[in-house]
Amino acid sequence: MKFNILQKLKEIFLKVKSRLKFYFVFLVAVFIFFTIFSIGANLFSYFDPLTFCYIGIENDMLRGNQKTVRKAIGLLKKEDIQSYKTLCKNVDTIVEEYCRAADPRGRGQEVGIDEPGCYIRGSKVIYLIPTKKDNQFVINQRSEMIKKYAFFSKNFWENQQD
Amino acid sequence: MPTNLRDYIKDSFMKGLKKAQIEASLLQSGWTKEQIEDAFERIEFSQKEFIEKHRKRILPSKKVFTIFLLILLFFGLIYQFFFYIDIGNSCFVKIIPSITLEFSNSNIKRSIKILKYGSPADYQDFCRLVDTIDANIDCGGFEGGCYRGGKRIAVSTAQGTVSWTVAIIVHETCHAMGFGETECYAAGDRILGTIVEI
Repeated sequence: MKFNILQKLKEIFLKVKSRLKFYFVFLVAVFIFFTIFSIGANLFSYFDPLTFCYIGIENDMLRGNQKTVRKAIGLLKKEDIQSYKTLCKNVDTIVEEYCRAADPRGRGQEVGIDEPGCYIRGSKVIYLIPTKKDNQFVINQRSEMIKKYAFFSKNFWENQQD
Repeated sequence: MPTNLRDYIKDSFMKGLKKAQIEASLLQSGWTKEQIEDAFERIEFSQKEFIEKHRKRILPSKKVFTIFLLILLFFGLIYQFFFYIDIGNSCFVKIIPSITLEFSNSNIKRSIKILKYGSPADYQDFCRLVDTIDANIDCGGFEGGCYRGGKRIAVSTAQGTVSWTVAIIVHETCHAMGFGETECYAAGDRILGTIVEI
């Protein structure tokens, strides 16, 4: 009887052990995949695996700086988590490009070209004026702009639903 | 192997009894352990055989499945590269990709979607008056567009900004409505003012 119980316990232990081994290998595989994906995604865009926040960054190679866009998003996450959540939900792409709010051939002058950024209504795209500079002032300014235009996008899509 | 033993086991399973319970009851009735195990094995084998036989009938074969996937992929690619379809608004536009500029047409498709939500009235005009967009360079040059008569326009704004592509689409749609350059520049200007929020 005693032997039977021991035998049974041993069987259960072996079963649990093999199951745990499987789960462990599975978790390690998922972790490795996720890490590689995160690193790859962060080369060309912004990806935060903890909040599942993915934002494509289309940068201007010659005039822009993708790093400061990523740092600005990181700053927003650190300082204003609510705005960061709004950003993740309402913005899918940040483009380093000059805003053009008018056709100079129609109006005779450019509008918006000197603005630090803008939001494209009907999309989840925001533009940021390209700059190669990489300092705290630029990061702070970009963070503020990203926050402002994320709320523009939120307002647009909320009004669409009404 | 007497069939009544197998029937008894099947009935017991149907009643919700566990294997161990059935085994114990059969041992008490005088059946040997070998006979019982043999009966269980035969039942399991016939069950597996039944599943295997019917799986072929229920599930499609690998070949059919592969062909179905390939067809799906083919039509998916055709749609991705050559068409913009919005059934709800009866909008069907053929997009001719440019091998040299932008083969994916993602910029044009994205811009049409912006027009749809950003300026529904212009979108309705576009859907009504345009059925073909050519992404190759035409009389408008690079980053420009051209009205080719009928329902055809050219929009060569590969990798350009989406807002500018929207403006070109509206400008060329304006020509399709019969207006001249002055009115259509004004239309492009108006749509930029509408969709770009500073």
